[in-house]
Amino acid sequence: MSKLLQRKVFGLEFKNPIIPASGCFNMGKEVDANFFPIKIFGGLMSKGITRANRLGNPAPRVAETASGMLNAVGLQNPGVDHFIKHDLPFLKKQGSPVFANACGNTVDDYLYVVGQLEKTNIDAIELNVSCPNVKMGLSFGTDAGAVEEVVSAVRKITKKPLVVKLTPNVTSPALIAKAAENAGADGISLINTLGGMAVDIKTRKPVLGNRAGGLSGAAVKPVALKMVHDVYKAVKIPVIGLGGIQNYKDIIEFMLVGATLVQVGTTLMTDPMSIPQMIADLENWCKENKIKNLDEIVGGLL
Amino acid sequence: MQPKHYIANVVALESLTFNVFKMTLQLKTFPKIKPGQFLNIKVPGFSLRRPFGISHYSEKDKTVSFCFMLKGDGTKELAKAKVGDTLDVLMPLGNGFLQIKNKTVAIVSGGIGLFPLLPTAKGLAEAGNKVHSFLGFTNKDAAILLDEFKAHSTSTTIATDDGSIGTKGYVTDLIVKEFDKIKPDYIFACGPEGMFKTLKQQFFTADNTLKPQFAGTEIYVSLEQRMACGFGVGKCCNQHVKLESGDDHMARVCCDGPVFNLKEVVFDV
Ligand SMILES: Cc1cc2nc3c(=O)[nH]c(=O)nc-3n(C[C@H](O)[C@H](O)[C@H](O)COP(=O)(O)OP(=O)(O)OC[C@H]3O[C@@H](n4cnc5c(N)ncnc54)[C@H](O)[C@@H]3O)c2cc1C
Ligand SMILES: Cc1cc2nc3c(=O)[nH]c(=O)nc-3n(C[C@H](O)[C@H](O)[C@H](O)COP(=O)(O)O)c2cc1C
Repeated sequence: MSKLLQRKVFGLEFKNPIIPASGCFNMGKEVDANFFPIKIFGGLMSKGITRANRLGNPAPRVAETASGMLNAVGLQNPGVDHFIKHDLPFLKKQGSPVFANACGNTVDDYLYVVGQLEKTNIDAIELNVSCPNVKMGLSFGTDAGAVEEVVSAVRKITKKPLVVKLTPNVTSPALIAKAAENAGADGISLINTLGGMAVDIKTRKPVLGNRAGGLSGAAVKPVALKMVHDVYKAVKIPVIGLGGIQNYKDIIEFMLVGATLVQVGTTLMTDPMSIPQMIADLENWCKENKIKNLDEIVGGLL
Repeated sequence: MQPKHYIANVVALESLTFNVFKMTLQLKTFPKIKPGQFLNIKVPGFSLRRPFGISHYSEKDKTVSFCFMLKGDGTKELAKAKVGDTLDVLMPLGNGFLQIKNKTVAIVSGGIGLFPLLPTAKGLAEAGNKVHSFLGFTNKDAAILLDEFKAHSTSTTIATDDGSIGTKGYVTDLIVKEFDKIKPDYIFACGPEGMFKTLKQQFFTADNTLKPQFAGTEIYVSLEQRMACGFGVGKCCNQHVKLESGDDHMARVCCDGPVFNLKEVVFDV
C-alpha cells in the first residue's frame, strides 16, 4: 500500500484519513465479515460506550428523510467492561489506531468509562458530549461550562489522546470547542447528529419511537462543513470532520475547511462498499494533483 | 472475500396483483442463499435501502427474485424499474429459517408474509420434510402463488378474511384447529405483527411456557422492523428478546433475525 494518504495525528499513525463514525460500525465485526477487511480504515471507532449495559430506545429507531436519515438508537451498547473483554481485542488486532466513543450522563459516568479504558491498550478516546446531562436536562455539549467540567475531569485520569466530539445543536460550536481545548482536549471531532423529527400523517404521530432523533447523511454536509471550518479557525488542536461524507470529493472538502482526519457514518451503513472506493479515489486524486501529503490541503480553503 | 454487495440487472418485473410485483434480478456471481434470508435494495433517489424477503432463487441461472407490495414512495419508485436497469443490492442478509430434515413442518403465512416462506417450503420439501401450508389473505384477489406453494406442500389450507376463497377466518385459528391432526415438529410463520401476537397468545401461557396440548413443537417467526443498514451495524431494527438463559436484550432484526424463536420474542406494548 502506498504512503500517500498517511496521517500522523495525536502521535498515532493512520494509513489514510478515514475512520468509521461511532454507531455506524457497531464494533467492527459485521463490516469485516460481510464486506471488506476493516484494517483498510485509517483508524477504527467503537459504538458509543456507557458505564453499564443499555437497551436503547423503543422501535422504530430510524426514519428516512430527504437525502438523509433520522435515528434514535439511544446508545444501545453492552457497557464498557463487556466492550473491553469482547470487542476491543478484535479491533486492536487490525493494526489501525482504535478510538473508544465514551458516553455518560454524569461526570462520574464519564470518569468510570474512561478510567476502565485507561487500563487497556486502546489508542485514543473520543468523548461524546452529546449525551444528556442528568443534572442539566440538556446535553453536556450545549454548555461550555459543562464541557469544560467534564473534559478537565477526564483529562486528569487519562494520558491517551482525548478527542471531544461536539454536538451541532448549539449557537456556536467554536465556543464549545475552545472550552474543550482549554480543558486539555487533544482534538475536536464534529458533527454529531442534528436534532430532528419525522411525522406520520396517517397516525398523526412521530415516526420514531423516541418521538425525536438525530439527522445524519448527505443532508447535513453543508452544515457540518461550516461548523468544522469555524472550529478549525478557533482552536489550535486537530479537527476531525464528519457529517454526510459520501465520496472522496466530500473528504477533500472537509480537509480544505480544516479537517485533519474524517469519519464516515451514514454512508458506511447504506453503502459499505463505498469505503474502499473512497480510499482508492482519494489516492488517485492525490496522484493526479501531485499532492504528496494531505497536510498540503488541510485548511487550504482560499 | 466476496462482499455481500451486487450490481444486478433487472430481467423481469411482473405484477402479481394490482399492488404486488415480482422482480427478478440477474447476478454475475451468485452467493449461497438460505431460505428466509432477505435482500436490501437501493431505490434510486432514496437514502435508505428497502428490505425484501427472497422469494425465488436459482444458483444455476444466477437469478434472485423478490415480491413487493406497494406501500409508500420507495416501493412505488421500485415498480417503475425497467428490464435492463441495474440495481444495487446487499444480499443475502439475515439468518433464514432453520434447515431441518425429515420432520413435519407447518407453514403459517399472513398476507405478504408469503414471500420468504416460499423458498422455505421448497427447501423443506426437498430435504424430506412434510410441509403443511396455512396461507391467509384478505380476499381471493390477494391470494397469489398458490400453485407454487401447493407444489411443495403435503397439504395447503387457505383462509381469507371474507371467505371469498378457502375458509373464512384466520390462519392462526386454523393451525390451532388442525394441530392434533398434523402434529408439527416446527411451525414457521411470517406475516403482520398482529399475527405473531396472536400465535404467542394461542401457543404460550401467560408465563411464557408452551401450552401442554402443543408440547413438542417449536415456533419460529420472521419479523419486520424499520432498518438502516441491514447487516447489524446501526442497531436501528431492534427487537426485544428474552432467552431461556434469562438473558434479556435488544436483538437486531436484520442480523440476529429476521427469524426468531417465538418463545424468546417479547412484544412490548
Ligand atoms: C426482513 C424484511 C423482509 C421484508 N420482506 C418483504 C417482502 O418480501 N415483500 C414486501 O412487500 N415487503 C417486505 N418487507 C416490508 C418492506 O420492506 C416495506 O414494505 C418497504 O420497505 C416499504 O417501503 P416504501 O418506501 O414503499 O414505504 P415507506 O413507508 O414510504 O417507507 C419509509 C421507510 O420505512 C421503512 N418501512 C416501511 N414499512 C416497513 C416495514 N413493514 N418493514 C420494514 N421497513 C419498513 C422503509 O424501508 C423506509 O425506510 C420486509 C421487511 C423486512 C424488514
Ligand atoms: C445509527 C446511528 C448511531 C449513532 N451512534 C452514535 C454513537 O453511539 N456515538 C456518537 O458519538 N455518535 C453516534 N452517531 C452519530 C455519528 O457518529 C455521526 O456523528 C453522524 O451520523 C454524522 O455523520 P454521517 O452523516 O456521516 O452519518 C450515530 C449515528 C447514527 C446514524
